[in-house]
Amino acid sequence: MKVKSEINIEIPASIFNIRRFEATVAEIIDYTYDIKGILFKLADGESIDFMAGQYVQLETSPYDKVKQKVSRAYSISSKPELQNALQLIIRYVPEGICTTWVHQHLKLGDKVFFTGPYGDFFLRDTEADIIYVAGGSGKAPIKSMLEHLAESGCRRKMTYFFGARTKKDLYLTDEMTAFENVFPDFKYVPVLSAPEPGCDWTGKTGFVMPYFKDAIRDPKNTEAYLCGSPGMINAVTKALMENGIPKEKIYYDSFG
Amino acid sequence: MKETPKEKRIRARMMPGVITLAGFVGKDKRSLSEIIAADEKELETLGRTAEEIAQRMQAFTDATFDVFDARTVIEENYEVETEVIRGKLPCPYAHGGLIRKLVTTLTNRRQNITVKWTALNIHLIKEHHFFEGKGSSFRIEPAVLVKALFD
Repeated sequence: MKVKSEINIEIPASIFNIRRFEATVAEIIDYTYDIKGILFKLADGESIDFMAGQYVQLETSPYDKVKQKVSRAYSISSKPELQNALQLIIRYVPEGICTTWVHQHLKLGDKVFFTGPYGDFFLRDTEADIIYVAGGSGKAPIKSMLEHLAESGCRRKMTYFFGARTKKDLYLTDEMTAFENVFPDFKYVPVLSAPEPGCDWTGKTGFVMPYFKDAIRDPKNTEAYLCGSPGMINAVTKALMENGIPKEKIYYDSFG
Repeated sequence: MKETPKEKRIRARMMPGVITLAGFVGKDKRSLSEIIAADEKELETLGRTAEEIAQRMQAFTDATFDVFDARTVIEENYEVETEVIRGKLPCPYAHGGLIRKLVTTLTNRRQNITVKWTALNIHLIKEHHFFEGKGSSFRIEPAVLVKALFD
């Protein structure tokens, strides 16, 4: 392409913050049968500056038949204040090159590389009420946001709906519920869509959408932060708008 | 049949660990053109084209792509669900563009058949008439696929 006249190219300042980092695996936690939390400690003297909600591209190392490295995007699940380390929450995807590496090959002390931070899914600095909705590994950016707000002493009204199919798909429930004692007006609401017959679940069931109404006090002054599948994002966005939340105040990170 | 240099390059991208963990050819020792020719011959016998099969698969995927956490019953016979996974993959034929990562599961109640496919499967069948090699994780036998989609 030839440029025949002067053009202005606007480059977001955040682009200049993207770097490649070296880190070491410092902790691996099995959250569920298919979700792990991995803590990466950055190399000495390194620090990462990101906004809660952003993601990094994790690079794999060669293993078994995988001879080349691949990069995959994962939301950061730890707070930005933890500058010399970060956590990712990674769900195992059968046949996935990166998730197989993480779940079956990565071990404590391994050296890894990632680039970032990327993305425009981040908390807006307002006083509006907040509805969070996530499912599966979509919990990652919301966890980062809540941990960040806990550091800054947030007083906003917040409700966090976490959708899962069965009880075995729930994780970090105690940690999320504990935020109810950190913030003056916060509620964590796990909802199971298909609880196993006979399980001892006494919480909410079905989809998350019918429960929004009770959590919204002033829809025009409410923001929503969603992370999950396109199906979840669509259904939840529709329900939030029906409850009066303006579309421009619904922010999301869709897996699709 | 001897593979052309172009076919060799494509086959190399289809090996395990390059684009997907398990690759696209399984344990099939035939050349790509032999695999494709054999499946095209079977399609002729079945009276279906790769394009109409791909179109039908795409329609089921599109109908369930943004359905939230539920199986959808289509035409009163097909139970269909699509799981979307973060990220995109290139086609091994390397003609540019990236394809969504998703898996559609369809159960034909009448025939009691369940088949699974990815968005890349649909693309490979539509554009390249490639149903993947024997033994590949996402190989779908044309006869099974036709029965699942149309009967």
